[in-house]
Amino acid sequence: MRLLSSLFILLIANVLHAQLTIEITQGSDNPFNLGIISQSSIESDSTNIVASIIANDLLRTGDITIISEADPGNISEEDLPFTFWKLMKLDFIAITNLQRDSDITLKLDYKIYDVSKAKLVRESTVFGVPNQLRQLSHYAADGIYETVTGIKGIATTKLIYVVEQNSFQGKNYKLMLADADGANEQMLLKSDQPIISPAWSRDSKEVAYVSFETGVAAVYIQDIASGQRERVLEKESQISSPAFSPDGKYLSLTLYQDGNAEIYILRLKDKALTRVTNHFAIDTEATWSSKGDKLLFTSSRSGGPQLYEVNLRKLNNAPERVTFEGSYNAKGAYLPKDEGFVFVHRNERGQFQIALQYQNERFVRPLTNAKLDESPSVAPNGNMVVYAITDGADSLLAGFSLSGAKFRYPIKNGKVREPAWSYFTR
Amino acid sequence: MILNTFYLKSGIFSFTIHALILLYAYLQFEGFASDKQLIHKPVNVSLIEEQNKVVKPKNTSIQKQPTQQLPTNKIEEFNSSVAIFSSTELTRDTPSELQQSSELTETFEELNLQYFVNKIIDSIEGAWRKPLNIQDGLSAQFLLRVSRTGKIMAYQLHKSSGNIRFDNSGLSAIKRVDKFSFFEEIPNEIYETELKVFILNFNP
Repeated sequence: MRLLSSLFILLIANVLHAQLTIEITQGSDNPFNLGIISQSSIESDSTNIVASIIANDLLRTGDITIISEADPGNISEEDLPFTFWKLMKLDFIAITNLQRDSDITLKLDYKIYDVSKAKLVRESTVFGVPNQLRQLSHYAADGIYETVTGIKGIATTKLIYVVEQNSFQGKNYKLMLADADGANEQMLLKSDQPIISPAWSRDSKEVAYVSFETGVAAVYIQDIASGQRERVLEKESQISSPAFSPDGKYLSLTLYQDGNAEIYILRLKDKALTRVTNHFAIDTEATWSSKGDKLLFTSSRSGGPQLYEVNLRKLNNAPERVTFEGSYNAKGAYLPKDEGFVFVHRNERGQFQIALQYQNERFVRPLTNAKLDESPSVAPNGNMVVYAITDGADSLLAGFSLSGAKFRYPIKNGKVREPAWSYFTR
Repeated sequence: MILNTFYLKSGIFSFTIHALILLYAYLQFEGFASDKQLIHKPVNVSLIEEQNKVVKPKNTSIQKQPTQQLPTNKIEEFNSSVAIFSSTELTRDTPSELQQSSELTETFEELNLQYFVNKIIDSIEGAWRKPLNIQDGLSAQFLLRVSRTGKIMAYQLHKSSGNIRFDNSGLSAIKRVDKFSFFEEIPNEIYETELKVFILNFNP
């Protein structure tokens, strides 16, 4: 009887909420077509720099195709040539205007029009000083990207990575900070001993890394703006892969003090260590889920390296294996809402490629096809990935967007390793 | 042996009971499915209405008969259900031409609804960019409230696909459409009953 009544209640509830449902089944796979018109009242050099930075930022996303020759010349705001743009199959038009705001500051206006509706959809201004042209452009690029795609842009986010150089005195290691497009490099730390595993805090104000500068392994947390740093842990044995918890109160790390690699969590307040894994196999490279309730890590407990997840909220936190395809899956990084993870996968031809696996799927989606790809790090909007590649003698950074764009960062003097993409900075 | 037969019998009995419950539940849920209107873009659909559709009341005098026993304050509450009840009674007795004409209006309204739904589908599909590298079989539902002029006044994620890029793509298509240009052509009745609030299901 109870079953009948509950079924009846269900039926009533359903009828009350019966809403017309309209099915949307067709959408375009193509990127948005965007025309950019760059106007300026100052020297053309700056205008060109701004235009090219914005265009490159947008092209790297893979969500936007820039249509050149969208400018028919001498356009007036009252009478924009929407018919012409419609014929060119443009979806949006962005008009940027770089002007002097005062003696020392510049302003960059940008307006975005939806061509199909012949309507202004966004108008914004960013201010800065002349040596911040790049920043101004990145801000405008993010504004345009957000308006066109509805996804938050990452042109204003940052990268950190380690550069290893050979010199007369021997090797040196640098921890570098750069814009998301690889430009505007700054050195955060230089050492003649290895620096490994840089990682961002969620507020993107601090980085954690392992440095061997004192002769032993030590974990440092460095404030980027001030350069001040704190040594939070030092061990005679090896340490690697620090990663901030989302609330910034803990670091997960790999310690080798038990004879083999195990994952620990360090509480930053009192430096208390809690062991997470306990297995004779290697457990390493832990990263946190967005809510901080799970760790994704690499373990060789099944023979070869595979990814495992451990739920920190459960009392019996036995790790669960999550990758099953192929004999090598390592260095996992969650997508922003943990709907999947990106990692290094060795395919059947023995090539190491960056791949994606969604939580509800059991198979691997390869995203790159080089031979030696490593260390993927996901951008905070979940649409882009930066990773390290080895191409002949060069070790450099490369990236791709899930929407299909692929790009490489400029070759540096030295080997570039372990890139880490920051979180949103604004 | 006796014991075994007992087990067998009780097994059969239990099977029958469970089968009946499942069958009942299944039929109920089938009932749900048909209650919910689901409109796709028609490929080749003939919009001929079925006979059993309830016709809306046209003659008020018929309502009097069943409402006589009810106290007046309850009449308002029951009005609609009673009206439908009585009007079905009415159609049974009316000549067939009348019945046909009401069916025609019904078909016309359905056609109209389908026509405007197609326009909505066209607008949204024109604005929608499907993200690449997503799981197969994702679908996300958004609940929309549209003003009489066609402006999308409110929208919310009704059922997430679980993939943030996919959800986002639907959201951004809705934002991009912003206003349906043809809403003022929609007859009031269709707008009020069907298109004031509806669900968009992104289901590639």
